[in-house]
Amino acid sequence: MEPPKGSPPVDSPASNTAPVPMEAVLRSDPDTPDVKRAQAGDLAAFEALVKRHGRRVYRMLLGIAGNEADAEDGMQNAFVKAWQHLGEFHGDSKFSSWLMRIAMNEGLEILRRRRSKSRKALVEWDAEDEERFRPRSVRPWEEDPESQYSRAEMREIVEKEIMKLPAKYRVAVMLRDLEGLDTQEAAAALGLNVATLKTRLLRGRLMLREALAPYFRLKVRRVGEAGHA
Amino acid sequence: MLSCKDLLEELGDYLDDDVSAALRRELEEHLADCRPCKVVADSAMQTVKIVTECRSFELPPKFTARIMARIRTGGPGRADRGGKGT
Repeated sequence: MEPPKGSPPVDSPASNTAPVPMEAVLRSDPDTPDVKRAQAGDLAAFEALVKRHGRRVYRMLLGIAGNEADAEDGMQNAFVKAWQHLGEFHGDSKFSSWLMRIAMNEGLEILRRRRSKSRKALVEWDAEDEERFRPRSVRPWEEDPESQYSRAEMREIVEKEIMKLPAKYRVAVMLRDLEGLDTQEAAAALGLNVATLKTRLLRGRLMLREALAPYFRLKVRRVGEAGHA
Repeated sequence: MLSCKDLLEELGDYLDDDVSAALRRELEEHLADCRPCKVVADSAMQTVKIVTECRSFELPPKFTARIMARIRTGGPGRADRGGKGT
C-alpha cells in the first residue's frame, strides 16, 4: 500500500522484509529504549521523544516556513505522523534522522500549499544556488558586538534578520549554527548533498552578516563626541 | 598566493575549522595582507558566534502538551485534523 502523502519516508521497502534490524545503528542510537517502548504503545515514552527532539524539528520547520504558526502546525503534524508510523521504523537509521525526514516532508508540504497562492515559495526553494555571493559591507565590527545590546535585544535582532533570509539559506543557518547539527547531519535532514549544504550555509551566513552589520559595525565618532554618554 | 575569490570559496570551511593546516596558513597569509577579506572573515565569524549563542527561536510554550493531546484524541492510524491550523 502506498504511504499517505506526507508520511515518513520509512525505512526502504526492502527493510520491511529484513528479519534483523541493523544492530549497530540500534546500539548507537540513544533513542532506542524510548522508541521500543513507544512502539509497544507507551505514550509517556513517545512524549519523552517529543520533548527531546521538539526544538530541532521546530527550528527546521521555522527555517523552511518562515513563520511561527506554520512551523508549529508542521511540528504537530510531523509528530502525529511519527506516532502513526512508528511501527514502520525498524532502526535502519537513527530515530532522529527518520523524524527529521518526516519534518522535512511537512516543510515541503507547507511550501506546496503556498504554491497555490504564489509560485514563489517552492520555486525559490528549488532554484539553483547563484554562483557566488559578494560581500558588500567591509567596515570592521565592534570588537565585542554582543556587549552593545541586552540578551533580549540580541535575540530580537537575530530572529528578525534570520527570518528575512530566503528559506533555503535560513534553514541551513538555523540547523547548523542555531541547532548545532554538524554539516553531514544538516545535509541529511534537508535531503541535500554536503557540497550544496555548505554552499547554502556560507551564503546564508554572509547574507546574515550583511544584515547584522548596521547593528554591530564600528560607529564613526565625530570629533568632540568622544566622552559623551 | 590565494586571491580574494579563493578565500571566499574556502571561507565556509575556514569558519567551521575544517581546513588543512597548509590551507589555513595560506588563508591567514591572505587575511594578513587584505583588509576587506579580513573584515569579512572576522565579522562572518562573529555572526556565527552571535547566532550560536543567542538561543533564538525557542519552542512555543506547552508544545508537548498540544502534540500529545492530538495524539491521544486521534490515536494511531487516525489523524486528528481538528487541531490548530490543520
